[in-house]
Amino acid sequence: MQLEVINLRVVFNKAMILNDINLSLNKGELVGLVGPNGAGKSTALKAISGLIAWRKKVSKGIIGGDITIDGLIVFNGERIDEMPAHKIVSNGLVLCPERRKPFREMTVLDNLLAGAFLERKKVKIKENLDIVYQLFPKLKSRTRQISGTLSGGEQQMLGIGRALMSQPRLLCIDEPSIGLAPIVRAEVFEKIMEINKRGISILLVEQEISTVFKMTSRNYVISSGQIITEGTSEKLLNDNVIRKTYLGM
Amino acid sequence: MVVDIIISTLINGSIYSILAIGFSLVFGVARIINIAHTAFYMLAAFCIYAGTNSFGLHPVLAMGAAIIFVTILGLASYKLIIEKIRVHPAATIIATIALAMIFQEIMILNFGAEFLSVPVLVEGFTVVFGVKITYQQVFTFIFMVILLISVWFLLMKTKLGLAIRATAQDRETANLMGMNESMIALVTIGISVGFAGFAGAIVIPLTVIHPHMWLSPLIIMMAVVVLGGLGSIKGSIIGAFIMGLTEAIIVFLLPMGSFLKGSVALTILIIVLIIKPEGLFGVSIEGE
Amino acid sequence: MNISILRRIGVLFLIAGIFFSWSCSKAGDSNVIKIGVIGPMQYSQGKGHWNGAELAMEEINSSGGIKVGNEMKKIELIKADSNEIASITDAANAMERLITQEKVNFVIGGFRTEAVLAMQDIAMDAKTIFISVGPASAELNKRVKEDYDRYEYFFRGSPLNSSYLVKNSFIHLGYIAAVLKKTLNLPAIKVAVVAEKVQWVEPVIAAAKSTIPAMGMELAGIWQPSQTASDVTAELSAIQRSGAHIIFTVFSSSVGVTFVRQAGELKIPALMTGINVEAARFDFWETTEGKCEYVITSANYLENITINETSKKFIDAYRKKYGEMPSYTAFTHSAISNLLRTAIEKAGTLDADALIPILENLKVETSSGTYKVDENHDSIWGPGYSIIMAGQWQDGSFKGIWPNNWKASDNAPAISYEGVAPVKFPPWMIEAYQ
Repeated sequence: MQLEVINLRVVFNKAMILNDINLSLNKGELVGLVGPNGAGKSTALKAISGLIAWRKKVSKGIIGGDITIDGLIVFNGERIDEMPAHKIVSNGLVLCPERRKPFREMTVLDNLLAGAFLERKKVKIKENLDIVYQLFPKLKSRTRQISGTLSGGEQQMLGIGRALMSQPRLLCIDEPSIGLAPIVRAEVFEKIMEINKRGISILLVEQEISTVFKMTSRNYVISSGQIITEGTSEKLLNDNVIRKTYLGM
Repeated sequence: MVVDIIISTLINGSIYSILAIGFSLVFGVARIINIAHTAFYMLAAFCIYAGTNSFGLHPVLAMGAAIIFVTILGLASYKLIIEKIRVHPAATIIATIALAMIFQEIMILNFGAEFLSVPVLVEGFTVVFGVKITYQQVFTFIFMVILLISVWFLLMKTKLGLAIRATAQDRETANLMGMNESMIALVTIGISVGFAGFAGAIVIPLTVIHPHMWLSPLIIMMAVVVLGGLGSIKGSIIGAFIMGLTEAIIVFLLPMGSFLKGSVALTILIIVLIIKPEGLFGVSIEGE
Repeated sequence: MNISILRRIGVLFLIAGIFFSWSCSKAGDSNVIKIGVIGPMQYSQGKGHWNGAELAMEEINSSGGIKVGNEMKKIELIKADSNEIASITDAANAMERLITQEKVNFVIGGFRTEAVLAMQDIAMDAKTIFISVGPASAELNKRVKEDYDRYEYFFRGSPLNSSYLVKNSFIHLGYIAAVLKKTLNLPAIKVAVVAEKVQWVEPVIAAAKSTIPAMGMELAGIWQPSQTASDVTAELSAIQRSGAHIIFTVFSSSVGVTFVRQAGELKIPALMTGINVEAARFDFWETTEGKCEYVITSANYLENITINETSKKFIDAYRKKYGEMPSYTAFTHSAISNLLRTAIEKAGTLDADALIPILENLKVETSSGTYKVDENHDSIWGPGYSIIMAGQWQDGSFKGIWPNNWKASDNAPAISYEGVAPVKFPPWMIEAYQ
């Protein structure tokens, strides 16, 4: 088991956002985390990658953010729930955040190099850069462009590319298709499959369930902060109640 | 006249930009509005005075010592006071105001509220395109340009600079790149305070040292930063030169109004806050 | 932002401490004359206030005290830090304390007009005689004129009010212009006016606009940097471009130091005269790193000039005790030993209402010349009374250069104070105009 989340609970200003989430993922797997809007999918990814704990630390008093976080997260046999976010990255668990969040004032290249922040060897960085460029040739032709001026699809590719520069063993991707045209979406999903084929496990949060189910080996269905069920795409689609109630299909 | 204005703009703009960059960086990276920023500039001036007068140090040596001392003091203030309350923005601002006041009072206790001075590095002046410029100003300008280039190099060409820029733009996402945000905040504060000390060290030989000398540059610097956009380096530099230019134009075209230099800063501050609160190149903080 | 909360708290503690210690030991002691000395004690002006008063107290007490009727009473001084440069509220509180807690008989001192106006009201409420030593604003005596019954307890000690100060500075200007014209053979003199931007300066500027052309000189321009400006090189470039031979300065704060320093560094070929409060301080040479050479300003006490015997004795005693020349706020010495002492001995009482008519008619020698007040309790300026000298920085010392053969009117006798020195011109100026 590469990732194991046990009884993860997040309470934000007395509202239970995640209620005892349990999920796991094997090395090399591509697992989907699906569910309706506001179910807690993004929060789950943020909690796993340490961002909720970070926010708890820094934003006290800013949004009146009273945050509690509980539960056990084990990655590659090591507890990461008490690790600061920047350390979790060095363990190989990398999040490509929602709305890709490029550093908008920086160039494409600087964004990618930011992803490689922890890598000290220049040769290795160059190698990874080549891999990213090979995967996303469009980025190569725009290395000097300010990333805020890229199209949505290009920004998504930059987001994933930047995450790859951090040399993930498990890549969590949050809503990669959001705001993208159908053709671009297809391309993004194709790239995700390709990354998975290179041996990188992927935990994918996505609204577009029909596409996700074609890609994933297993899926978790989450609603109102709770895991409702878990299983292969086929199994979930055959369950009429699940399909109608939670997947809206 | 045009030459006068250009030269005046370049010299003052370069000083303002060094102050504003430091202030802006700390805001961008650590989200700290450091009112005490120019108090460190004042402290550096007193350090040089003490260094040359009490310890008999060579002015250049005293300058170096002052910058180092002020930087250490800045880091210590951050570690011991600011970091503990940093999560509360209002408390942080109040703490930095208190810090500035404390520094001011300590200086009054030690040196009295008198006007003091330190010698210039090289006496005299030179004439550039018919305009007299003191050597100290020439030095100031050269040092500031060197400093600006080093800042540019640090930010654009080094890993630390990349991390500072990334953190300034999006602290949360910077974490995801493995950047230790609080470590970067500490380093940035060191750099920022060092710059303030440097500006104090280089500017002071042509003017007077007194415990209240941090107030008027504070207002100009805030106006520059708001004009350029909080957190933006590019904005700070452009804002600083716009401010320098405005002041120079006022002095040369409206001599009776040269006191307006100060009010111009305030006016710019207010207008920008009303019309374009994020400034020319401000970072967006709505996501937080 | 200018008001230091911390210092206020500090001052409160200090005041509380002093109050307790003094109110315990001295309460009810009516055998002394209590004089409150109020001023910004952390600044040189306040130190001047205190030193002058302290010297007067020592002199008087060692000779037995002041004769009040049949009794000899000693003087007790109460120091009150007004902190008025930072806070007018602090100043009002300090005055309040002197009057209500310390129950002083007289108050002397003050510095910043805005603060002294507040102090004045408190003293008047308590019908306590208040002799100002420090503020120059004519506003203080305008109040006496407009509401005599309320403000009759106020007297201007020193300096002369700002309109005399200005009038006198223009006389300095005329003298220097005449010497300059003759020495450098100039057909006409151009004057640049540089004044800091504060309230009391406004009438000076208005006066400069009409007076300078009326004196046969050309006004090259008026510049008004901020009080705390740390860079005036742009102004200096513009002044040099205007072709001014004389820079008429009106400065009372730090910009006066900065301006002189930067002008000296740039060797601007023009002579400075006028009012520059900082330049009249005897440590100005150090403060400007020697860049004040040739700077002229109005002055009250000068090493090389003897105004009268009283002045000479005071300056000698002051220099002996404190090792430096007195600043103009040290007139507290004369306020006690010349004004109050003479009046009290004449009246034979400390009663304010009995002292007022005596002070009103007093004509007495002080360290600044002959002191007499007009009907508004304002000290009189002019030949035979007090006038304001001009000093110039020459080779590191501040030398008196005026009055030198001054005739107040065509038929008046020429006045020269003993020891007056000739005006010197910077070599770079001579070079520029030859």
